[in-house]
Amino acid sequence: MYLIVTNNPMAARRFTGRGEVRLREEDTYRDVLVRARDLVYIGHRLCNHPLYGSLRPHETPYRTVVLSAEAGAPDWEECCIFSDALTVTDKFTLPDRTRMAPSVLLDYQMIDCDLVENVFSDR
Amino acid sequence: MDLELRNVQVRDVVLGDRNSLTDGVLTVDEAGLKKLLLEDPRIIAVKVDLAKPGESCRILPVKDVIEPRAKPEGDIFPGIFGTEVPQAGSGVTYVLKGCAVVTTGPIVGFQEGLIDMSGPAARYTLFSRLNNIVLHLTKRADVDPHEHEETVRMAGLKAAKWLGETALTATEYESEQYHWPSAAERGAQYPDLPKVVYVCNCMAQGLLHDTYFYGRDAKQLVPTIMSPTEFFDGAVVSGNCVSPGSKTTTYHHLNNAVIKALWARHGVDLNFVGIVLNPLMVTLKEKQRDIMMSVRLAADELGAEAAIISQEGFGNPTTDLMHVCRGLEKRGVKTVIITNEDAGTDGMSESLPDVVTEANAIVSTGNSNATLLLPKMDRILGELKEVERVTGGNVDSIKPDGTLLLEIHGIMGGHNLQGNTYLSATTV
Repeated sequence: MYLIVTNNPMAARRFTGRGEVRLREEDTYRDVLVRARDLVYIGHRLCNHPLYGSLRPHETPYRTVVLSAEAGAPDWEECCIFSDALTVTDKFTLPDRTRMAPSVLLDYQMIDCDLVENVFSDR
Repeated sequence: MDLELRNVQVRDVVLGDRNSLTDGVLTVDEAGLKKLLLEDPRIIAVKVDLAKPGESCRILPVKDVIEPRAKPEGDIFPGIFGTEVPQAGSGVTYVLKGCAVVTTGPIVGFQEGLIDMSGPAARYTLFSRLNNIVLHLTKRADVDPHEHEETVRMAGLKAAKWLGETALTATEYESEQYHWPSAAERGAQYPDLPKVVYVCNCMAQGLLHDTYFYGRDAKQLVPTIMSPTEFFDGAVVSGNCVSPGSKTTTYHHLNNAVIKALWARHGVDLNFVGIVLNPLMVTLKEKQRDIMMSVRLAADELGAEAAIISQEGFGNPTTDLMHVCRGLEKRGVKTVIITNEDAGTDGMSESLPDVVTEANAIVSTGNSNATLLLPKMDRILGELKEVERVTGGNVDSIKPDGTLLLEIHGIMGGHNLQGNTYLSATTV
């Protein structure tokens, strides 16, 4: 089972049953990464790379990070991956969801789900 | 494996009522092309336009660019058409040089890529210098984005094969011969020259982020050994267009610039012993497996003494790139990587999302965040409004006077990571 941290309502619906879903729709892309990073720091293992896909932080407002449900000793390499991902994110101005068409928001939600889906399908 | 490429030069393209090639002028049977593509019931309308070098013309959003090719015997783009999956890379392949099939039209709300046929953006991408046959496809309303992507991908390949067949009767061509012996023979050749392996990274992550190997999804693939001639026959096809500046189109795969450069120096100052195709996955365990396997294939199976890695994408793929480099260097394989940089519009930011100390030889294809102010164009093929949602563009990209502010990342192939770009540093 997994711990799924997201701001994507479509992902929350789709991945219910894969584990505990922590959805906060009001979160920004960065907020999701910070929440997930803090879980990696206390020993949850990272299943997908936080910067998966090619949509950059100023483009897509959605992010879903899949972690192990269990926490053990923090993994140094994964902590570094996450710190670096936040450094990259901070180079961008995050998108304003209110200026995006609803159909585009749904497309971003769908791409986010599609990329994360692979975490589950390879097992 | 032995392959002869017969390059037939096309200097102009016109629309007509029969496919033909006379004195370098390719006539495209417009009605025939539409009929061919409409065989797919998921397509309800096809618009065919031509875009030529120097014209005041902008194509947007571009999904893929494909060079027309055909084989008198065997399949071009093997595994894509038909029921069999024949081996690629042997025999004869005809190539229509100087032209390309370009697929356009939005699949999801933010997909991707611009080609200008003149002006400042035309200086960056090789596609501005081709006679482009632009296909704008309208799908049936009930076709979902995944199927839509497949529909457009297949239509582009079908058109490229069909147009490529026009070359089969050409008598004037430039011939390139490729002889690729077995791995054991390659290893024994040129004992005094360093054995060089090419690791070709390709995206394998999901919708609009995929690559196809013999027509199958590269997400199902582990790193594998390929011959140069398989690339030339279209064994690797792009399904990938998000972040167009750093993406490898099918045109780039067919004309892989690293393979061509290694071939040119094979037997001169290096021994080109092999290629590893490395899919870039989403999950960390798959990344770890593929990094391990790419290093093992290059070092243990192919006996690399030096390696060059070409990148695709940016962000998480940088982790794959850096760790394959580290793995190879730790095995004593001197490694050079090709990547772009995201250094911010002023070029002052940390430019790579991941880095290892072993990556001590990097060829940069430029800062993708550098912005260009592009003039208004007389003709738009596709939908200009899409620029607000493509990589490198934003809601303020279109200026009131019609000019366009865009990062070079938004230009299709703008800083291609196989080095097939005009953006480069040269020694003078």
